[in-house]
Amino acid sequence: MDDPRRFARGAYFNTTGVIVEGQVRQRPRICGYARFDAAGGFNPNYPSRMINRVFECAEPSVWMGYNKLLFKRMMAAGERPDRFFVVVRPELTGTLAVGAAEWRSADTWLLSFSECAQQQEAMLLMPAHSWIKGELGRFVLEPSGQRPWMGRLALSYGE
Amino acid sequence: MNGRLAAVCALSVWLTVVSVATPQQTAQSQAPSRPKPQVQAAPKSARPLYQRRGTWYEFMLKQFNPNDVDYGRWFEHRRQAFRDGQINNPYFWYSVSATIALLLMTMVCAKAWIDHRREMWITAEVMADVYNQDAYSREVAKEAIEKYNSHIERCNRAIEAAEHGETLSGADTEVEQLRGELLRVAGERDTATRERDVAREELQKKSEILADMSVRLEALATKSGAIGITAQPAEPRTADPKLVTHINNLQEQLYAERHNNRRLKGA
Repeated sequence: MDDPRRFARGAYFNTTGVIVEGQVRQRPRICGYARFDAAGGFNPNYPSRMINRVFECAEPSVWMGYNKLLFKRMMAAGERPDRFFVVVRPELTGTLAVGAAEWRSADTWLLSFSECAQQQEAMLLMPAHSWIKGELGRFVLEPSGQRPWMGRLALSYGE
Repeated sequence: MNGRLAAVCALSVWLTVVSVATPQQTAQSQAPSRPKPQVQAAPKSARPLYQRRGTWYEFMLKQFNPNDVDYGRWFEHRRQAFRDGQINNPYFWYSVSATIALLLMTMVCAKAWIDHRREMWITAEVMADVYNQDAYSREVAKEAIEKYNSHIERCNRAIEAAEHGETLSGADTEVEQLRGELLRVAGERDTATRERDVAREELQKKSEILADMSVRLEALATKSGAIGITAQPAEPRTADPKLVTHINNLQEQLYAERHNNRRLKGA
């Protein structure tokens, strides 16, 4: 408590959630979280600045029954990422058939998944050109040609 | 402000008119006393045999006007006299205009005087502020100059002492204090370094123990199969990516099975 820089060394966690009665609830079906360290350059006051940035991460792991992804530090701008950290909701992809065969490509990793009623939210770690299947079709993660650190889920035609 | 000025002008004009009319009024006020006997004499000369009694409102009117004076006629007569004697007289209008002009000039002069007084007050306040700021600046400058002079004086004394191979008494005590402070800080640094080394050794030992336990855990996991592993905590550094992927798939399968069970129960 006497450490004056204790907030500078804080850790921040994020996971999935759904809105229940106007409030965000976790309703976890597959538990997991992403951990960001303030010492690694994460600033919780400006979360939008953390989007489309490349982080050095630890290998995905399972800790106390929870999937865990540690974001160690923010890399300099312009780095090409190995994988993309993606959050998917049914508004974009339609309902996800989590657990069904071939609902996602084998190289993706489902970090966390929340569900309540018709609402879903999934947090995935996906390499470039990997895919997931929703009710609307197959979505492929395509990195931007000009800015390879940015990616987007694009609905692909055909199987 | 303009509304107030207009009201004052209107009041002054009204006062002027009233003051001009008042002498005439006093002169004319004696005139209606003449018809009074005529009004009162008429009933005496022809008194009817049977006098009709008045109504209650006639009685009330007589209480307010016992002499039965015709005020309407009196007012009209006075107004006509005023019109004939004053309104049509060019000297009257000249004097009214002169009076209004004088009143206006008086008001303008009063306003100018008030404004000037206010400006003088504001000027005095500004000058007081400037004076205070000047005094404060002089005081600060004086302090700074004294500080500078004392510093230069000490520097000169130090240079002279160095040239003559002497040491200043004040500087000596300061050096001693700084030396003591340095020794204290060095002692604290040594203590912190020792504690850090001890903590590092402990951490190393714990890491070795943890690595040993992880190896044992992995061996146990290979014996007992992959299913029981998800409940056991895994060290991130030693976690096998294939194992993590397998756990991830199992979590999904578990979710899917639970979903199916719930659906079947509902059916």
